[in-house]
Amino acid sequence: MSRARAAPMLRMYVKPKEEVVTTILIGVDGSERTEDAVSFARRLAGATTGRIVLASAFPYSDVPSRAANLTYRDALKSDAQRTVRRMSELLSSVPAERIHTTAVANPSPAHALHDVAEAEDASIVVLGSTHTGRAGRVMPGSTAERLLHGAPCAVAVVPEGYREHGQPQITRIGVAYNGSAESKAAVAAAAEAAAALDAELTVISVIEADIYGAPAMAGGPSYNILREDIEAAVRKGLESAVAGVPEGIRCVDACLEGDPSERLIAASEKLDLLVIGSRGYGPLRAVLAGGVSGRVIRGAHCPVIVVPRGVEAPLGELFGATAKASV
Amino acid sequence: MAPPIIAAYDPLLEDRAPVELALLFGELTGTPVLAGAVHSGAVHSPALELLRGDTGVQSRSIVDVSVPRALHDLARRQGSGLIVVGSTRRGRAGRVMPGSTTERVLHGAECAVALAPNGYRRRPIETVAVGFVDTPEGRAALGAAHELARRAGARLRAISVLHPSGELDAALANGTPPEKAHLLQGHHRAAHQEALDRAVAALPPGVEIDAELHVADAAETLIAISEHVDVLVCGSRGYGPIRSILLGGVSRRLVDGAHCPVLVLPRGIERPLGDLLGPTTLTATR
Repeated sequence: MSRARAAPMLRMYVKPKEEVVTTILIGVDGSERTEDAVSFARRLAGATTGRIVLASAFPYSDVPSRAANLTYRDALKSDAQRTVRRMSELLSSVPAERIHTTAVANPSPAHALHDVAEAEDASIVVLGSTHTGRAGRVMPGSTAERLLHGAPCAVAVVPEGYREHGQPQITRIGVAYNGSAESKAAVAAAAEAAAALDAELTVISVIEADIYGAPAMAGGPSYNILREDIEAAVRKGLESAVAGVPEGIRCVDACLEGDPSERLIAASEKLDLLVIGSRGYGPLRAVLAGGVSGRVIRGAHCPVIVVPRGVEAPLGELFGATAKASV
Repeated sequence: MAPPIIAAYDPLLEDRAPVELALLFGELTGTPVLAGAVHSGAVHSPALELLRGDTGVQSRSIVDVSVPRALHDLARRQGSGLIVVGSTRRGRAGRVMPGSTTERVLHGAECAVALAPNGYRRRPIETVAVGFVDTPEGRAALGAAHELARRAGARLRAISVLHPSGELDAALANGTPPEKAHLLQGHHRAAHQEALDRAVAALPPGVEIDAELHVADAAETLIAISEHVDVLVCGSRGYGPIRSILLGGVSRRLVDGAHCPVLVLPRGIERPLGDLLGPTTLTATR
């Protein structure tokens, strides 16, 4: 297999022609957060067979211009290549032929990763958290933030410091479920991941009674009755979601109560991975963080994968498409 | 009747800044304004009647737990070319600063979105500024800003910003001889100036235009300029789903601190304000 190379002109990245394989893309920038991202990607790689592409952008615009300075471009490029190679060495447990590195000229790292993700038809792009966040928590930096708005594939953001105290195995996967099409896609994706990683799956729903309540004066049903109705509906939805998870996957449900993003962040403390859907409006086949997912991804204690909307089984190809959840 | 401009209106907070800004755009474009009042439960508030009494603006009361979703849906159903939203009340007075709702209205919107600063009140548009980059998104933003300025009888400041570090510094790095580095820097500036001049020259006559090239940080420069202009126009970033708003590195920072209303345009549409500003493209973009 030939190494992926950046095209020489324009801000485009062209994948060498070959048969369709799945790709885990890692955004690399030479900082410790990349080690966090690589550390998580290594665990995913252990359960998959596709390519692992480490991509780094170097700040040079390939738009043709009289001001082009190819000496400088080469210097930047070899720096970036050194960085991706150094990071790829952290994947020592993965067979070398699965690992590919690329350095792309683009002043915007998010743009570069978006292009590589499209060209590679990547299943997931993995990024570390910004160093300005809290240790042990997920907090997207500006690059991850932009990918969370419009990425063409699933986006994983890994907590700061994951490289040091992460669990050796992913054994507990959680998925947020609220009955929407997007959360069904998330359950399907999480089930694929659980099957491939031999992990236990927890389908989590949160009862948020407050927002449906009417003030006493408005004459609607009281909070207590509403709460019971909502709880019954949520539990029923949760049961059918769990029932839809394919045989052979250890699956439990968790019905929590309170603010959804807060409860999910708290639940993430006891998880090795949390999967969540995109919001239910906006462009299809793209990741778009919504009100809950947006907050969860700014505070979770474990890696979070946001799956794109409008895709039925977002991680199906990555994990072999054997398990097909029908929820 | 032309599709209305949608103004986000919170009947509990009664923040009229978005309505004020929508009315301003409405006046310029001869477009009616429809206030979208979204709440999560039944609210019997006199706010909507008061709003109509004071401003004549009709409103649509919508029950939805997701305000951004409801506004997107309303805009799509009405065929609107513009949604106007407000700033968080936690931000500074007179500054644009999206709250989490506005943030989600922006990302992925299929039409243009304008952000009103905290406490905004209508004032005539004398100067329109536009951040220019030589990309399809940048040229579309310039065209839309030009059209807006023409309607308002305003001056247009087309601003291109070249970062001092990065490629300008780059010329000096890595053993490039100083004379050559100097030459490259000159080329670099000249290339940006030429792109700006070319784009400005391609605009139709009728608007007084200042084309400015600044060597500085783009977001800082545009935020500083926003103190002296009445509306700032910017395009979306150049990648991601088309026909939607996606903030890039500069626009993301602009909407977090500009001193005047910011108009953000979706990408992948040749004339992003076409439906709103130009009768000739009524069908072209839909």
